[in-house]
Amino acid sequence: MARFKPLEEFFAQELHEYEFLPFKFHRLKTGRVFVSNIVGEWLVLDTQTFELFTSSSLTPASAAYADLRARHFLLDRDSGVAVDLLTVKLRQRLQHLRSVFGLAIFVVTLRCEHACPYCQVSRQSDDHAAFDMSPAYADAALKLLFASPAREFKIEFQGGEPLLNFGLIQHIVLEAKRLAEVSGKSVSFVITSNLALLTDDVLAFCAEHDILLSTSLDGPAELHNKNRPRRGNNSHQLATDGIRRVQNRLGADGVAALMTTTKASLDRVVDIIDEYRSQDLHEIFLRPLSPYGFAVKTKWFKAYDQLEWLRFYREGLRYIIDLNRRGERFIELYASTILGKMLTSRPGNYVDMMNPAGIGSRVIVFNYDGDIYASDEARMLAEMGDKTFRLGNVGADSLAEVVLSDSLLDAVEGTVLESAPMCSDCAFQHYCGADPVYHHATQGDPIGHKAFSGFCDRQMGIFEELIELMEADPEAARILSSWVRQ
Amino acid sequence: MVEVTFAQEVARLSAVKKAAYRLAALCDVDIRSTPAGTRCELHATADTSGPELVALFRATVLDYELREDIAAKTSAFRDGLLAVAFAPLTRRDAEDGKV
Repeated sequence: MARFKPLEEFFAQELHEYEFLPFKFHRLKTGRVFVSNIVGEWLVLDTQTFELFTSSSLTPASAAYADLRARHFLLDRDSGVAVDLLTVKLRQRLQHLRSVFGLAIFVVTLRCEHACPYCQVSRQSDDHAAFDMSPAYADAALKLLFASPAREFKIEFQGGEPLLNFGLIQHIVLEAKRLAEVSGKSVSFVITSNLALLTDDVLAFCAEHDILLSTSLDGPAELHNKNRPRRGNNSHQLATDGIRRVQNRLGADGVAALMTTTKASLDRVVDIIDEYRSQDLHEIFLRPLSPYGFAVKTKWFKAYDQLEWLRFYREGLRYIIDLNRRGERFIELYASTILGKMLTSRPGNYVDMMNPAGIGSRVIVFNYDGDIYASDEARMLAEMGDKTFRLGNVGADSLAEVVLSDSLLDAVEGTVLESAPMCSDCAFQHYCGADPVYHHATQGDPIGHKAFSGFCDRQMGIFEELIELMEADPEAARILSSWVRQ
Repeated sequence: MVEVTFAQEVARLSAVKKAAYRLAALCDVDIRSTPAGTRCELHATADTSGPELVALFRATVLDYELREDIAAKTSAFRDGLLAVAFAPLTRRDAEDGKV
């Protein structure tokens, strides 16, 4: 044989001196060790290899040595361009710091005709015009938004139920498009709606202006209707009819759905996923309840803990992977977001998983009363009486006053993961986020003690699950990789 | 309560403190400097036995000591990489104050 010599022949057998490049590690429950470098590239090593590596005793003949060198964990006399490459990768990974306001949320009304006990925004009953945004506030918000350096952004209409103030949505869309044309900027639109009030006129307007719809679908009819009560007990019927009508009018990608996990959902994950499949929806975001609004008042938030939710998530993820294995493309979006951060240099757009926190910089919320908040969760908190993350008011404050407000800068600065306790040493830092609003809501401190953090428990559980799957099952690894958006 | 002492040449104080912080959901740790080293009294707050807690605490301290060691050995690379990553790409960018 011997056209080529064995690998070890290419390396001297004596100990090869190498230096470490910055890296962090985490011992997995499987006993293996996850290592990640300064740009988020990662490897999983067995314990013995890890001990050899960290004691500077790994020989170049080992396969792990080549991997560690190729992924910028070590530097030896043969790694001439490694540091330059690493710099370029780091620069690319930090690019997102330059962009602002990818998402602007307009809460056009707090009114809603549903009465969901887990409502995180503390909706109001539908007979209070006092909870509608006025055209004057909407215009002032648009003026502020277009004064920002953002070149392109998405405007998302939220509520309450935003279709209860559809006239204002029409006004904002037309005015935003006019301002975009004048300024050479690009704007797109999403309406977050329960679809109960969907009409042909709404659909026609959405079709004319390329507006997408996002809705809630919690699972099969009895579960959905239990979670999302309304007069007539027909929320599920209206939501699924609406989904079908949007799909027919705007195309399959015209509507996306979100689910919220309640106690009643915990042993129904397969039914929930199957409900999505039956509605021709090919993505699901297995989403836990957040500690805001009625979810706290009604104690639904505390009805289950993170371990129970992680069991629910694991079962769902494995079921979805099996669907893919059988040839059906179906994506779990929480995993897709994390994998995007693990397998590419892109930071992703999910504000909860940004570092530094994306509140007030990547997302801004214009509330129905003209107040400006740092994130959707921040305005949810405000409806509970806590206005910590209120940044100003569209009628009173300039853009500079809003984005440079102490309440925002303190929260963002304090939660940079590179300097946050525990996070600073965490090997999953690159794929995680700070979520200061969550930690403020649950611990009264935007940084939070991560040893007591449900957010940290959940994130760590998902990271371990994804790595375990990718390690143990090459087919699962291939499927999970395919979920990363290009 | 269980007790464990770390010689200073085995684990620096910062590693012990970080381990105590990391395991705060399982135990309160009273940390004192003594001539023999850093003495830690572990008071379990969760359902973990004394020997289990000591083993976990020791392993966690040693891991943090390793992290501190790696961070110290790589801090020059880290600082240099971040400096270049945030630096202007061209002289014109520098003059314009762009990164």
